[in-house]
Amino acid sequence: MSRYAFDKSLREIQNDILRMGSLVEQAIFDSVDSFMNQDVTVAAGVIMGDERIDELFLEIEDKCVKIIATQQPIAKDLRVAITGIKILLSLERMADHSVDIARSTMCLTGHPMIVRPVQEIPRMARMARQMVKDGLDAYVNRDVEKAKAMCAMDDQVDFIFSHVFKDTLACMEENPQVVVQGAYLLYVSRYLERIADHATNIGEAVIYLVTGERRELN
Amino acid sequence: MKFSTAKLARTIGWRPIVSYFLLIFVFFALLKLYPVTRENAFGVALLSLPFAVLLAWIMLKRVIFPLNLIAEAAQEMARGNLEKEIKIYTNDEIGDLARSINLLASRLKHTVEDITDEKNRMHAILNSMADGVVAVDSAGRVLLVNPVVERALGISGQASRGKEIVEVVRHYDFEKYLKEALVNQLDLRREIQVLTPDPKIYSVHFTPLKGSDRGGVVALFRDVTEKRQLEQLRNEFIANVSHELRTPMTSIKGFLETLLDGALDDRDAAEHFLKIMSAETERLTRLIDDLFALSNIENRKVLPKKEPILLEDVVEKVVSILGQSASDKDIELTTSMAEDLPRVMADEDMITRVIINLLDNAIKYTHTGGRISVEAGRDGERIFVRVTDTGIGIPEESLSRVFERLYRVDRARSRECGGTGLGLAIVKHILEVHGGSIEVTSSLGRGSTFTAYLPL
Repeated sequence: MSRYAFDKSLREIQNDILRMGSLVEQAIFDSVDSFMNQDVTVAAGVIMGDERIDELFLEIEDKCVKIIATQQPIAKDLRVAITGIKILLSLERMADHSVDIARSTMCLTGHPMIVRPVQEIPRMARMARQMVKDGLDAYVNRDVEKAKAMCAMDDQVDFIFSHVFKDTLACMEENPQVVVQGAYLLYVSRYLERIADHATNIGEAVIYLVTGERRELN
Repeated sequence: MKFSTAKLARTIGWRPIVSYFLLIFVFFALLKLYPVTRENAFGVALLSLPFAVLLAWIMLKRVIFPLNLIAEAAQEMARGNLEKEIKIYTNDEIGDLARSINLLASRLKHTVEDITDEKNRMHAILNSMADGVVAVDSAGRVLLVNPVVERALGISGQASRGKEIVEVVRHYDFEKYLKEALVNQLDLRREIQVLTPDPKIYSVHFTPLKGSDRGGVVALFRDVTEKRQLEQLRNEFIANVSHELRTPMTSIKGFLETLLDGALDDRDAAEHFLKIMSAETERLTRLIDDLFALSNIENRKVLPKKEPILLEDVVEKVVSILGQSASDKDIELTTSMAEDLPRVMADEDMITRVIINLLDNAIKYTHTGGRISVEAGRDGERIFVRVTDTGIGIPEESLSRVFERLYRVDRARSRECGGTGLGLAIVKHILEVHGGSIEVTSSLGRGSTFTAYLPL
């Protein structure tokens, strides 16, 4: 394979990752939207859409493995292939968490969401989505500063999560009738917090890709 | 013409001058030497030197220097400076050459100006378009992104030129449709949802670039978020109205069937059922009346019959109508009117309805033994009527929605009180057709305050 063809296939892998990333961003948005509006149709769409994300995941992973096996890249080229796999794994986990959120919507039908801390969920989701977007932007532009800045946002998500956790527990103690809703709310906030953590992993992968350093940003 | 010899030497080089000089010098020397062989060589040289210098000078002035000037101008033109004119107006070949080059420069200048104008105009049109434009070439690389798209998608047009579309607009479906239009050379119209910076829905029209050798696709973005939201509101409204109409209908139908099945013979039961049916019918009528009133005001079918009215009178009238139901619930109802309130131009029936709706709500949602106050006063160029209660209050997340048609904070309680879910929507619309407005503040469990404003 010529250098040109090699670069082209690396770029193709990167673009595939971006495509998958856009699907994951949409899945996160839709799942939270379905949870907030108790919209079962949207939730079902997220669950069904995960198949396509899984297919893409396997496809791109194969491409990465193939390029490592046949081209035996070294130094930065190797890092590009390895980071590709790392980012793919994170994205795939995020998509799974979105499916989990959509499942919670399904399970909650008929239980109006009247637990107060639910108001924090859209904000959490927005931040988590922004982190995924920034992570992918940093990946496209090989932007270490952006990756670092985006990882800092994770602290805010963790902070909201701990608040939601405490408030929901308090609500459940106060009014045992909302225990079901409260339990699902705890799940959903946890999933979002995990999504943000996976986004941080993307940031770390970008830093590794550019500098070759491993850095714990979480 | 002024020039220094050093500059001349640098720009022309010594060789042509020296060779011209030598050539002419030798020519004259030979010419002189030929017939007059007695003269010595030194004398011949001395004799021909002035002629040689003169000729060389003429050559330099007439040919070399103008040619040099033309060469300089041509180089300037190559660098893009078309303003420079060659100032040679002689009537020989060199002059012709200079005129031709001047003409070439001015033609070129006009063409470039035309192209620049065209480009600027295109740029201005693209920049001032309300729709977003993204153009890609046949390989799917970005050719152009206009400011609307830059803003809508949070991207930079300058940085995105020449990049692949997926790197610029990270949207799976958008890319899919774009490729579809590119490969099949088809017109496509699709809707896509964009999540960042704000969630929005765009209707995107993909058109293959016609009349261009290199191919490509133009995508036109139009924001249809509001349209879709309105459609959703309308659908929700229709669903809600059907639900509201069906509930009393089901009840009436049930009792009718029971009566027909024999309950008619049991006089007491029959009377009880009929009373319920009557109440349900009344609720239906009220709902339909309210819907009708709302639709009339919304569609501006009924224009307010504006006349100067005194708010004091209206408030007094409403209090006399609703005073009884307030005292039934042991609610202390107080009114306080600012003195010398000017008359306002308004439709008395409509404003009466506004105050009835506000006060009726206050009574409905205030516990037995609570307090309600009705105030009227002047606030700058506006007159206000404020109804404050010590009722159950409105949760913060519902505050912005209470004026929506059929929105209810607590569906069950509202129906129990006999509300149609349209009261506040009617209030809002009546005030709007009068050029006024309504505000609400509330604290859950403590009470609410509704303030209606009318312009003077």
